[in-house]
Amino acid sequence: MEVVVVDAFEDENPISSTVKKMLEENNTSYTYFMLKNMVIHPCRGCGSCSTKIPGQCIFKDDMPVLLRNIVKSGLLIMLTPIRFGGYASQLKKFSDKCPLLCSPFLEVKSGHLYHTSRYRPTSIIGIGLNEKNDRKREENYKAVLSGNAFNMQSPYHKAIVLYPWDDTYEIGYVLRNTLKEVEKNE
Amino acid sequence: MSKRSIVLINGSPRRNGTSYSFARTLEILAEEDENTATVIHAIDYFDRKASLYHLKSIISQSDFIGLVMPMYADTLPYITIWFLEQLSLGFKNELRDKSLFSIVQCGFPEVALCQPAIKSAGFFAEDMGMNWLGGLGVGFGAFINGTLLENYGSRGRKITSAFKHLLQDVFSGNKVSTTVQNLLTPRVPKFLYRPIAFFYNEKIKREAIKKYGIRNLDRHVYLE
Repeated sequence: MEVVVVDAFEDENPISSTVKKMLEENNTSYTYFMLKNMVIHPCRGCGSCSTKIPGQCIFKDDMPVLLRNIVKSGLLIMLTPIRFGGYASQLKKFSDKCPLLCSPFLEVKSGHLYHTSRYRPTSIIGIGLNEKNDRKREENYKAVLSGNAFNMQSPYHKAIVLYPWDDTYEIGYVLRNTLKEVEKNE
Repeated sequence: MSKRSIVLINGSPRRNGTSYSFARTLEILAEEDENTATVIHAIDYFDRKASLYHLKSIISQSDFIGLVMPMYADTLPYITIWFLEQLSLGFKNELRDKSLFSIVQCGFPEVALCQPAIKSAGFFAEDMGMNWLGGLGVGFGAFINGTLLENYGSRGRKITSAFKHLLQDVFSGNKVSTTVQNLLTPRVPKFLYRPIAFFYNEKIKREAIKKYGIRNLDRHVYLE
């Protein structure tokens, strides 16, 4: 299973290094993207990706590199500090463009409207670092990830919330077990 | 009631979309009652067309802040989060003890989907020591597509009436009430979702052919 990691952290942190280490120890084939080193223009809501140039953004940036890797992968791992109970802006710039993977057409599933996927859906693991000891922010972050997973029609998703005082061994343990769950769902 | 001052932040990347239409109506309603209202656009600060430094004096002179934004990918758009991050870095003194409410509009009818975005605005208020007055979700915002509410028929009038109630709550220092949310919640039975999807899909196909000559909307560009 191919894995794509998008890392929205700006600074050194124990999560990024632990994720890389765990994937390597697991002999998992992965591609790692540091979002701060990439040019991603924010979504301007112009709607061009719906009908004008279906599935593509009118603004040229590094998103096609990310999306080409994601559509060929089985798992997308998104790393972010949790900000205001959701994604930090660096990750949001990327996730706002993920609807490029969807078609403009609507379908109904489980009583909800959603846009159909253009590609084979990918499982998602979100790993958020919660610097505030506040379970409500944790729950909100999980709700955002869950919404993303529904709209991307992910076969499996999990939100992992970590705290600055968590041991890196524990982080690795949680990640390894989650990866096993994803592989079972493949 | 004494004069109030409110800043309405359009958190959308679009200057003239539905969020602006809402912010503009709130501005008009506030000024009708002799309050001072100012609409600012987060995108102007991102594009460096306006100065964050000058924003400090605007915020300092206000009592209330209204954050009006669309939902992108299940929560606040990048532009809004970027803007809130900038405010959290340099505006703590100016924002402390001010009151904040938010209005989130999403393309789908289910206003419950707006909750994560509304809660994020609440967490921002908490971080900045502001008085959080709550938020409202508005469904089917994409169908409004920037139309001014006075030109949007009965639904426009309903939303305007809800906003009037909202401002009464807010200016009294009260939290946004469920009465206002009920006025804004579209009553669409779920069995209508499939016909809505069908008509929407047909509209999209017609638009693609008529405007751009595109027949295939399902290209797998990233596999080519």
